[in-house]
Amino acid sequence: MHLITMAHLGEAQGVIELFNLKRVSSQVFEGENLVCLITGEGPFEAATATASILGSKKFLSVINLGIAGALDPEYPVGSIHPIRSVYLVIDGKPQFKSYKSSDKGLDCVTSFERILSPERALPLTGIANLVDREAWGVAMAAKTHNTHFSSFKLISDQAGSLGACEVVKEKAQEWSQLLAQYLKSIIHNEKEIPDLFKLEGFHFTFTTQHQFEQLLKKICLRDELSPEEVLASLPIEAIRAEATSSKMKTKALLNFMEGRLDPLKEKLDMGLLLWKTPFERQGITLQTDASWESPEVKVSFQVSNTDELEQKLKHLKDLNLGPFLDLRNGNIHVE
Amino acid sequence: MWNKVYVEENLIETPRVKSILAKVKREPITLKSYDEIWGQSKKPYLHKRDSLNLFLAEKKGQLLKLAPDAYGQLGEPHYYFIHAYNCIYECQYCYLQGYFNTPDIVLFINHEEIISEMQKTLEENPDSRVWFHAGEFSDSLALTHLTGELELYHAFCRKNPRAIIELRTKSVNIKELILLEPLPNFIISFSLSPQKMGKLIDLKTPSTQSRLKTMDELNKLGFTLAAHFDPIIYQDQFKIQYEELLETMQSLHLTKALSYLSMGVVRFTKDVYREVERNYPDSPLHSTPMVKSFDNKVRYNHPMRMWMMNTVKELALKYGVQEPAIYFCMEEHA
Repeated sequence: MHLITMAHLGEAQGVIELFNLKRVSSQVFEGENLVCLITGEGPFEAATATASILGSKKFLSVINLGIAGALDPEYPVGSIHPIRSVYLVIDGKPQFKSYKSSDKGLDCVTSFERILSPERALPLTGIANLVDREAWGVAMAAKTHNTHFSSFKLISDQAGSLGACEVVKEKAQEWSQLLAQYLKSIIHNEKEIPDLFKLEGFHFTFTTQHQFEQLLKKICLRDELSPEEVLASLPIEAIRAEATSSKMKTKALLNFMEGRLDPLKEKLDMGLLLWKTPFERQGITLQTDASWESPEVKVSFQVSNTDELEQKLKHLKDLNLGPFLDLRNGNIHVE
Repeated sequence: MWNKVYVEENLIETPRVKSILAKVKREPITLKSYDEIWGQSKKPYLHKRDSLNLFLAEKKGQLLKLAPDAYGQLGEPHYYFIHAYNCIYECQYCYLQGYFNTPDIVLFINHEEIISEMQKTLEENPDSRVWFHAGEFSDSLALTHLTGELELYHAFCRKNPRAIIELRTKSVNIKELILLEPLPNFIISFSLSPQKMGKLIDLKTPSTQSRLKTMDELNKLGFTLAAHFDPIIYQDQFKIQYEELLETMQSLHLTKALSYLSMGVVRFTKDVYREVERNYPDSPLHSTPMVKSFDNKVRYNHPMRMWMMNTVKELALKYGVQEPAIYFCMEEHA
């Protein structure tokens, strides 16, 4: 279900008719896949009305639709544009928070005041391409509710020009229908989000799933392959056939993927193993920082009598940190 | 190139501003102080591609800043001066994308005050050379055809042989520079990446090949040169790529000519890393795992970055860079 926010009933008429929406209250019209909310004019009004409905019902996305004044004459009246970022000015002063609406499109600044003169419009020209009265308020409410936000604006006039209000009234019906048709095309073009890859026989926690996705993305980037091609190149079947738990299978898979990305990993793992093994055979654990950032080595062992202690201390005399520090300092031969 | 040009109202009649405005051919919007607009709203970094604004302003507050440890060669004081905020180039690793709240460019025009502060600092350090670096927050040469301040800084160096100015750049805009006499303490340092990597990540910058050609031209004119291999980024065959770069530099007699060569493996603060992920999700920067390092920056793990720096250092020595000229920037000792 989408929430469509529009400032005035006049603007929304086309949407209400095209999508066959039923009146629920003076501000809310509801249909099968969308709800249209009439927010009233101004960012404060838009924010409170949007926040109120988002608090009572869950929506897939919030789409702000409406008219805006152009701050640049290159954009023709009547044209509709996706909005890229939304800014706010109060009394001509830009406010810090801005919101993203899409990757491409025009930037829109929401003004607390109507922009009724070219002098008021001029300082805004470096901030955005369009000026409106609601988008920022709707965006704030949507983002606060972690709901996807997008905005689309029909250019109604040149911001600050004389007689803009009369033109808007005259064209209200025509523009309302244009906006409705535009909304229909947006909703029609929505793509379904594909399911995440599911690997039978492997157990992923939230963290390992994230690691897997990140590693998959990195391999795709590095080898310029699609995710499907990378998956096909991984030894998934061989790991699945191993007689280990599903958690260990996941660990082995992640380890393999890390090795594919890190040219030193195999040599580092092997070097560390060679250095640790003789001591581990004697019950002495050498623990090093898994990220290799710290040069510290934690040495631990257990003893139950003086003889055992002397034995361990004797073995420890052979402990040389050199091989570990060499590895840590990248003194490795890699082609 | 510029969407809008804003000028602080008390500067509108100054010759420097008039000269810049004549060159950018834009009707300015005046304001009391650039920061009434600049940085007041969070403007996404990539908006610089189509709506980059220019602000002409006066730098207030601290005009010189002491550089952090390991910023330059050890043993002498290093400062950086701020002649501008933000850059016309778009390098995917650039920390500016997470540093300011806007990519809009500010050009500060009170160079005389900056130089006077440099003079004062020089006098406060009577027993050593003092380094002044430009290019911390903007490229040092890219806009010099507009701004015309180079001769002021050059005159300061000529007057004060103890002062060393470093102009850090990726630009090949040397039109203004070559009008000046080369000085040993007026150093032009170029950031260089292997050609293939540069093409992928140094967006909208002159190619490595063009930068090398410019270095060659300046070298022949007798200018003092330096280079930064920073950031070094891992890619398959990175060693071969650096070998090719250094081989070309050697063939142009640049490796021996370098006053210094600094090296640093790619690194990010957490905030910048997040911005890089957002702005360039498909960048090769993301194809090698990174960890949180000793200074909380995001980097390759310690063995990897030491291996990379040592590899490049060995190559640099092989191709004729003098060992004392090489230093590692912002990194633990290798």
